[in-house]
Amino acid sequence: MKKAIFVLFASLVSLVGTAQIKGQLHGNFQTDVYLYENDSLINAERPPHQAGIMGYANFIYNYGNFTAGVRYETYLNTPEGFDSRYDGEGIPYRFLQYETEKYKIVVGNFYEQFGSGLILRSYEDKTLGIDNSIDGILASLQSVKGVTIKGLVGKQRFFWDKGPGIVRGVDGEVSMASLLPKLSEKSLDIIIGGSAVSKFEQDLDPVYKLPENVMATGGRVAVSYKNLLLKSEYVYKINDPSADNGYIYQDGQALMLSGTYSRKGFGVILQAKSLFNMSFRSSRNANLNNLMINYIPAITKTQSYSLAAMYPYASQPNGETGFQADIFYKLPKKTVVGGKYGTTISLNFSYVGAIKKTQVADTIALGQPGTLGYNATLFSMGNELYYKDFNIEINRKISKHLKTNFMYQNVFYNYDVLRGKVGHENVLANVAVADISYKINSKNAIKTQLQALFTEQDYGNWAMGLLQYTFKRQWFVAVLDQYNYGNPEEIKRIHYYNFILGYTHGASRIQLGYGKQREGIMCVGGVCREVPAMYGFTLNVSTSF
Amino acid sequence: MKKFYLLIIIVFALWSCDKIKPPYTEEGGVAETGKKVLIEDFTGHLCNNCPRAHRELEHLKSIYGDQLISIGIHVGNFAQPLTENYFGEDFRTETGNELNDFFGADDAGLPNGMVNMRKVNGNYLLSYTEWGSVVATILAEPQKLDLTTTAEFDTATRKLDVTVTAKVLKYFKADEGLKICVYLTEDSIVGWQKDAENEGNEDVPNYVHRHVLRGSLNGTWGETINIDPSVYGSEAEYKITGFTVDTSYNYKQCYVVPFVYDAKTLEIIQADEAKVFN
Repeated sequence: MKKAIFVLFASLVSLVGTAQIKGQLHGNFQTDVYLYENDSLINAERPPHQAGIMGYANFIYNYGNFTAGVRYETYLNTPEGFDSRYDGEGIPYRFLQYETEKYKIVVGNFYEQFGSGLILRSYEDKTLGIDNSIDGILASLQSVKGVTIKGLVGKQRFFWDKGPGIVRGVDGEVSMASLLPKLSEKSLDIIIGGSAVSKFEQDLDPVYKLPENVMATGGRVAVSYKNLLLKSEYVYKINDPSADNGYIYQDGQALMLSGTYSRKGFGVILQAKSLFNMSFRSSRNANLNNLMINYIPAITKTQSYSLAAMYPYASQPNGETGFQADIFYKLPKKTVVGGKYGTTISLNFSYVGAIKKTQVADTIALGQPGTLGYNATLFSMGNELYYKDFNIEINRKISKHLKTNFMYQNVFYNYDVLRGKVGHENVLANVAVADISYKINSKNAIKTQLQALFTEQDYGNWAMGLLQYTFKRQWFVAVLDQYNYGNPEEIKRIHYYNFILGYTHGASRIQLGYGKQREGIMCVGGVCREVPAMYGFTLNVSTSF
Repeated sequence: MKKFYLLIIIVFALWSCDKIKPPYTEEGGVAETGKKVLIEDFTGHLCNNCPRAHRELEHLKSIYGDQLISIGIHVGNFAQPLTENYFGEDFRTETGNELNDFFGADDAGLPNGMVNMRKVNGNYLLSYTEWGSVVATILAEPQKLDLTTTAEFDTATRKLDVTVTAKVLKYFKADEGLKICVYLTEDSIVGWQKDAENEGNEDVPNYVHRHVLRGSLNGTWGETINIDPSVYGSEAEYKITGFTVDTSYNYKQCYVVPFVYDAKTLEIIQADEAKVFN
């Protein structure tokens, strides 16, 4: 393996030598440094190695139809809150690719997604500590415009090694408008796609008869006509007993529907999703965010304001039914209500609950290992509510210099289900945000944020203030404080303050921070990572070239 | 070209997907040899999912009997004592803490554990759902080393002497030699445990903690044992004398767990278990 990497690297270097004339080398670099201090009150611990340092660099070389790339990564040691199995350094990602208009071949590591990812999505997200890249072969073919077929095989990355299972998949997609120009003249397109993904993992279990080959198949249709877009996707997975589902033999199913209508100044998106038993990993014993083959798209809004993001939704592969409506409307400018520059109002509502599961027989408990587990039907609603979020955002530009954004959120959070705990109270919270930016001149600007979260559960009420000053265009300094003034325990009414100094120049950015971080959870698109409390310094450096 | 697409689809469809029909469990017993396997279960009394792993251990124990030895290692925040009458026990030990720091058990999310400290797909830490298959794999491999253990305990002085005899049964390689550890466990300690599957209330006041690690008689990583694995029948005797068993431990429920491991890969070659007092 090391030899192969060396040969690849050596050939890359020799290619780079001629890069000025023929090829192009680009990439990016990032490093995050955390220096820890102890703070027993917030549960922040200083590990024996005192610092967590995570860094990586991508080098992508492109020469005509040919592309090669490597990524070096280092975790010495892995920052707190990420899995310490990342400890170490090396080249976990390298590939060679040849691409023409009609086909593409990749050998080595690659990321790929079929449809919305419900059946297969291999991706990387450093903030979540996810990298389930596939090491193998990917081939895609587009012999006729509008018809694409892809095939792949490989093993997924598992920290510095690979998972035990083999992933194999094919996907085909046809765009009718590309095939029949008459349709596109009428602004109509129908895209039909289908995939099959199978994983192989040996059965060595002494107790259960486990399926060594588990296949999932799926189909999708998207119809777009003028301002309207309708999409649906369905996936079926055969028995896949695993640690996630408690070793039950039920098949899995998922269905997603969405409708979007948009015209100038107005848009509406309606979505529905229902699934059960759809955890699909290349190892039946994997947990956390490891070795996931598929991705369950979230149908809740990803909140960006820190207090609004305190209780985020985490997708439930074992079963959920949910709905979302998202409406956007722009009040016209130069009117009394719209103001001189116009005002944008966004309304969002999402609702996710359990799917109804019934016993397979009177003598078998729900979810009993070594049985079918339960019976379920898509879009049936169980008794338990998982999450509900209603939020409204009003964005208004007052003058050339002054911009405002106001938000209100009402959220219900089923703590036990979404955090995987037992016996914790569910949280009902109201959040209000005012975000005001004032541009002094072309080089200087001030940004302030006031946020408040009101709840009678969990840590109680919070207030948050942020003041950020950008000067000389490239520098910024920020002070922010999250104050848990409503904590039921008086001693824990703590200020989580942070001081940040940053500098950006082109694609490069350096940021130095000092302060406290509360423990909690962060989610991106329904995939989450627990974040521990932290106190100390942080340094982030990134650049791309 | 259409034929080509069709071919790809047919080839893929031919991959069987294994639809399993009930009964879903394997039938038949397990052949017994002298080989023994050690599961080190990283756990904590505040970890409400950990009893799932404990139950899996009981289940595997019912299949493999004496061939399976287990140690419950309480580590990390989940093992912190709360108040005197509520989760007051502190089962953490220096040895457990060192193992936790080295293997990163707490970080990887409890419960997890090691089966014979064998690296499976690059990892020592395995989900409890994976233990069964690894135990089955290991026990199906030939036995390379035999360990016999005798313990003598003086109830008055609380001094413990342990003798372990190791004998090579099959040639094997150990590039950096072999090491022996002798751990002390106490079985069936009754105390608090959070249990997600306990109906009504997850706080269980009288939970039975099995085979709790109490420490090591010869350090976390043990000592070198002089035995040549390339010579069939070669033998070595390893002795520890005068180890004091803490007065708070119920010696009648204490066990010594010696195991020999490869100093380079850390994989355990053979483990054994003996009661401190008979």
